[in-house]
Amino acid sequence: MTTFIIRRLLSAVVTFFLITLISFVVIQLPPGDVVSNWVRQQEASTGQPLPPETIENLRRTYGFDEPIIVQYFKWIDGFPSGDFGFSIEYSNAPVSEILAQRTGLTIFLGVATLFISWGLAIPFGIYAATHKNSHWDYLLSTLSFIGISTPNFLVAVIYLFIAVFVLKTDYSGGLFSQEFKNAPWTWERLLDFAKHLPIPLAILGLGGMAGTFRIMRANLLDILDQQFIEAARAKGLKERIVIYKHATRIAINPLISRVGMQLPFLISGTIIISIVLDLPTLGPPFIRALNRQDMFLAGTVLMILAFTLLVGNLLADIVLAWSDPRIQYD
Amino acid sequence: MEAVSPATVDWDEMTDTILEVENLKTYFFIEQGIVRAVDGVSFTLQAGKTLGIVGESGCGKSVTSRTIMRLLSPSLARIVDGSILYYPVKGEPIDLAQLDPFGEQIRDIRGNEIAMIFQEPMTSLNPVYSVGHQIMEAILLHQEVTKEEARKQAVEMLRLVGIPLPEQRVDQYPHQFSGGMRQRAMIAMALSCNPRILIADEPTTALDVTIEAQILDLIQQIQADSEMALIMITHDLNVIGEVADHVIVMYLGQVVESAPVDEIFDAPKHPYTQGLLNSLPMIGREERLEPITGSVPGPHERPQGCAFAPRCPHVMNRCRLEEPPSLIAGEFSTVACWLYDEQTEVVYAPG
Repeated sequence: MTTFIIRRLLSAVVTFFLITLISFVVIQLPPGDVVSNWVRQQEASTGQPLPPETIENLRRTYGFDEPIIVQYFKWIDGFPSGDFGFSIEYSNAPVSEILAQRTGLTIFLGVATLFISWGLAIPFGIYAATHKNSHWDYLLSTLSFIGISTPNFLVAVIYLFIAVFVLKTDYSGGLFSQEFKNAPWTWERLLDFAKHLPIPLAILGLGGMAGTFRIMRANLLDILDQQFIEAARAKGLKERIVIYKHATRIAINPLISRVGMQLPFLISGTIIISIVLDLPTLGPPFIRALNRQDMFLAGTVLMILAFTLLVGNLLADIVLAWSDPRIQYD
Repeated sequence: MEAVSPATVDWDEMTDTILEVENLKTYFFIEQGIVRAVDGVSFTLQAGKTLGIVGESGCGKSVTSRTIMRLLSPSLARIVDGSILYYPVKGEPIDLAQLDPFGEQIRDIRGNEIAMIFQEPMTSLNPVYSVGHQIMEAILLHQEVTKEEARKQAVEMLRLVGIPLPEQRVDQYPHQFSGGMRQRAMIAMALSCNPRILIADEPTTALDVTIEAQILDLIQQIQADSEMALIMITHDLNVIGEVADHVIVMYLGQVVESAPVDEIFDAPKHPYTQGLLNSLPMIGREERLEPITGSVPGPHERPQGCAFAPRCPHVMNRCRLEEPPSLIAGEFSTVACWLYDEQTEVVYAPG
């Protein structure tokens, strides 16, 4: 088991660096760079072209005249000391400063969404599978179809519309009220945060919940048809023990591998919804950075996404190896 | 002789009756209509004896066994008529057909007094729990013992069924066992609470012939040591010849012939039984194999009159119109066929 974890960790580190390299290069592939974008913006606002020497100077100051691979190593060189480069889009502010709080909030939102959607989808899935073809099963399955086919940003827009125009509330999205937006963490801020949380969580959880519900229902139905379930009943076990100990325990395994994939998906899934609901997550700066080829900022966000994917998969593999004895460690 | 059902035809004079099934009807209520999977089955089982149930696939053998165990989902299958009288060691007989399939009373009997082994050893054990854990689960459920004692018993059961190094094997998972080993483990699990009846549903169908012989030997040896009654369900007449004392032949949910094993092989009466025997390859056999023509009709294509009439070589006009009743054919045997109408009196007409 230990060798299994160590081997997985080592391969994760290698994968991680490959991902940073690829994302750094890919961002620079389209013609132009962050400087030309910035220059275009300046020229548009002043109406006068910038002298070529100034542009050259800019490039040299930032080190953009060097080959991409050199820039890449300069970039990752700062990682150990927490330096992830700077963002020209955000007036040369360090990337770490821009993303610090947003990363925490994004991961928190992602994990909380996961817990909520799992916490509801699994019991619903078990109920629907054990009451196959009942009215509740049909209702839950229909709702899950709707949930799975409605993009959650659309739900967010619909919610905003209803909240503002129908219910006439003053809901304006966000995770904090105006006065707490940049305040340090206090009890009051936490309370305010907790008040803002339910709606984004509910909207974010919806899609994932519908999918998880469907997988859980289908898996459990599959397992309940197996011979060993009948054999467990033939032993004289209570139906509850047959369902939970013998069937659900196995039906849940594919969901464990799903969670590894779902974590980064949830985080990137917050991007559009964050713009609609004005949530301080990684989404808005990521979109802005990609538009302007602000490669340090965009690269760092991509790196965070890759990191969550790797950690999620690693955790899922370890939990799966522990929960399913058929999986070999070596 | 007065009209009685075959279930009470005095077989129980020989030994103690332990299970008495009478006119059992299990119907499936599905969207396409009603499937009469078990349609008036009667038999009696004595302690220490083996009853063989034979028939092709789809004849209701497995549904009969699952009805006795009450394992069928009540939302799909219902017992519409008949009784399953189980005679416990002490007290009044219990009609299993009347029990709540999820209730405590049937759960106390299942796995404890009536145990079952299944056709597919590869999928009969839960892949995520160790073999020992699954055997201990049954022991802890029905006996008041500590975990340590249950574990000791599990090891002993594995040793009894011939699994080498049971102390190590007990902690292994089903995927580390071969098919034959898994069926042995299943038998160990079923026998762990010393059941009075063991229902074996095609226990050797999925196994090699060499393993099959070992498993059958094992079951018979355990039976000889313990007075356990056995219901052996199979489509394989060779297995029946090996283990059974009395045989019932089923066709489309009904018992077409019921007789001691020697009579079934030496003087089969029902054309279906004759057909089954004629399609059996045997060493030294001179004549060609004669398979039964056609196949078992689907659940919704049940013919009028005798269900076997469309495939029967001796079919008469009467067979296509009237359903034959069970007729007494010998001291311990009945047959449901019009061919024997002149010779015997009607004892039982399926309701």
